[in-house]
Amino acid sequence: MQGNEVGEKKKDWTDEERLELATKLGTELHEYLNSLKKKSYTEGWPEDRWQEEMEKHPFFMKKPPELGDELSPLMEGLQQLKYGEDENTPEELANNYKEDGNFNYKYKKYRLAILSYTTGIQTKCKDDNLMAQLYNNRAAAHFMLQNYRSCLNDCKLALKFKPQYPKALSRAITCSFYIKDYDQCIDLCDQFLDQSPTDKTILKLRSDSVIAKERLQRDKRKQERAKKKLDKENEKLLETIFRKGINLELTNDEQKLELRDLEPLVSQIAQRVHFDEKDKLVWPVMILYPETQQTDFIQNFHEDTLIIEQLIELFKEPPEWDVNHRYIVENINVYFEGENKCSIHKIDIQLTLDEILRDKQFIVRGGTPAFLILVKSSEAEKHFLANY
Amino acid sequence: MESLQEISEYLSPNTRLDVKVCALNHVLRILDKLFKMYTGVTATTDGRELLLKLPEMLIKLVTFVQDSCAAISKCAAQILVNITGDESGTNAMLIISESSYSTEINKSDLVTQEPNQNLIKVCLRAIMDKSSIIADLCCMILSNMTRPFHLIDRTITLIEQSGYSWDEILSVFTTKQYNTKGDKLHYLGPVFSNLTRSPRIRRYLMDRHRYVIQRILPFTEYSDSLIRRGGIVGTLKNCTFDTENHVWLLSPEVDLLSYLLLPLAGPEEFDDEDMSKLPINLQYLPETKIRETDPDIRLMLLEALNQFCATKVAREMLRKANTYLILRELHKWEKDKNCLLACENVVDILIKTEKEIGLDNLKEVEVPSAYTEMFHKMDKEFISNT
Repeated sequence: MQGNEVGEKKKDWTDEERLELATKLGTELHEYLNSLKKKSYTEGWPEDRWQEEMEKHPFFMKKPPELGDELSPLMEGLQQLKYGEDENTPEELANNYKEDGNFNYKYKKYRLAILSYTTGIQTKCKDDNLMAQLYNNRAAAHFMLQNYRSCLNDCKLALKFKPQYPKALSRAITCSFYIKDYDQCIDLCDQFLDQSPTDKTILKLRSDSVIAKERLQRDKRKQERAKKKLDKENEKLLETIFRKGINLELTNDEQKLELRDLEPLVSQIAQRVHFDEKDKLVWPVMILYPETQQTDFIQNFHEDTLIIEQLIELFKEPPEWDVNHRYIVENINVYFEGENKCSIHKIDIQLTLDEILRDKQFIVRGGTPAFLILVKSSEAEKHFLANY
Repeated sequence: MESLQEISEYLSPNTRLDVKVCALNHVLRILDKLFKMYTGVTATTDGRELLLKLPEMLIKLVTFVQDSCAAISKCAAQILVNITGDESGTNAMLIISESSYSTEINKSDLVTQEPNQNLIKVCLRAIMDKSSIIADLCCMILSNMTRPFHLIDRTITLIEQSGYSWDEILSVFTTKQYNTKGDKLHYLGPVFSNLTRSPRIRRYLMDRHRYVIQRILPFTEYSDSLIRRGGIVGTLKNCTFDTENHVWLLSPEVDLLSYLLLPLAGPEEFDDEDMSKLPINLQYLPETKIRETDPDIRLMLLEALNQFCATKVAREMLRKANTYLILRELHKWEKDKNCLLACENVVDILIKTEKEIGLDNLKEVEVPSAYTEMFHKMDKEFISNT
């Protein structure tokens, strides 16, 4: 500034003079521009595709380049600067990826954040603190995606690089609570409380864990008790039936009575043979009427009940298909089919169900004793008996 | 004895290594002999009393505990377990430990591993050291030194000055396999049981803003060690003496009752209604559930329940948790007379209505001495008869 003042004298301009000069310069510029050879603009972005070009420019692009996209040289250069292994130490790289991850995390792009942190972790940089942060931040992203198991794993890895890392530890605690690993949760709480013994959140989580764990264990114990009881009951059932010498059609070849041999095969029967409160057997029983192709089901036939008693009960109301009222207790015969349905046996209805079942000829199919009822000396009976 | 003293002069840290090794070997032989004197079938107190008259030698022993040679430190620690086994020994070691504070009070020597004559500190250091091979012996020394009731405040002060916090000690105790050399630290159980006779430690253990007593609760069912289990139950029992803490101890925050009842519960089955009234921990126990096998521990558990019977609010909580059911089944099973009596004492109070009892705090009842004597006599008769 000083030099200028010494070299030249400053001219005092009036407003008119200034305006005149401006006009003159303007005219000269126009003349110059007009004198230039007309040629189209070639170096820049073509007019029709400028938007597309602009998108490619790293400053203006609206979305990050995707895998496989061709990168503009400028982008490539920038990437090289930030991500090139020649330009950066593993620590710098890891840090860059961490920042990328944090950026994505901030905008709730958790999956992208996880990718960034993962790349950062893959640098295997020597900075333990940074590695711990990468794992911890990836854990945070997993947490937001409710991937609690992955989150927990990352927290543990973070803790390996930085023991007692409070953020990682408290997140690990929350995760183990969510995945119901209460033992681990309590363990981790204790670790945390070693450092800060009065942390209210962790104290609460610990006591919640203890209670949840106790409930879980109680439910498990209850289930086991119930299962054991059931097993015992079943065992007793099989043992009783076996002891009584009742023949059952067995599904397996080993001649060993199994529970499934007691399962009724028809849906009309609600419950398989079971004990009453006095440890007596109660059977489901099927009654067939070959003449009319009808079937009756007796859900609970007590083993000590006489057949005749049950029949009286059954025919108290005459069946609607028995228009002529022929099916009355005094007027019928009761049969059962022997092994392989090759034989037919008439029973004495003055006996109890138990006594009938113990008959060497009797065989229980599908866990359901079956009886056939026919009108005494009817055509149907004769016809029926002729089949055997 | 004289020879021992002479040799000890060669045992300063500055002694040439070869001389030191030679002298230590010699001491070791003498110590070994002394040790056998204590532990042999014909153990006499002579050797011990001789040692107690030689404070220099006792100090030397504390130094030996810290020796880098495993055999020497183990042997010295073992002898100190025996020395602290009675009150005079503990007293002598307390005086030596206390006098060490005239020269230094800082944590730095915890790090530098300088030999120290403060036995309490030396023991704690070994217990905290994950790779120590004398941690268990040191726990036993502390268990011994915390036993005489009138010395307990001095011991507590020494522990609090040691540079280790109660939190740290407790955490070491509750951490699974803290010691990597296979020492189990079970004897810290009796240490805490001894210490909680002092209100100072009970205040720490029952800090409502922290998680302290809750950490030791699971050990009432710790089947691996009678020592640890007994220590924990003793500690819990001591905690029940403070009636002002009853409600808190029985609240879901601590849930002490379920931890006291669980060891007393067997595999009995109850109907669902009875079951649902029990604390969750006691519901639907498996057929394999066994009761606490040690009658002394069962007695402590019952005495703790008895403490809860002192206040109305605690009694009501016990009734609500169906305590009677567990005690009824225990009573059918129990063979030990002391436990039977303790069990009946609790049941007798619980089956009474509050109207019949008519008192908020039974501890406030003044019992004339004549009655006290009579009750004691009745108790004795009960235990010896039936």
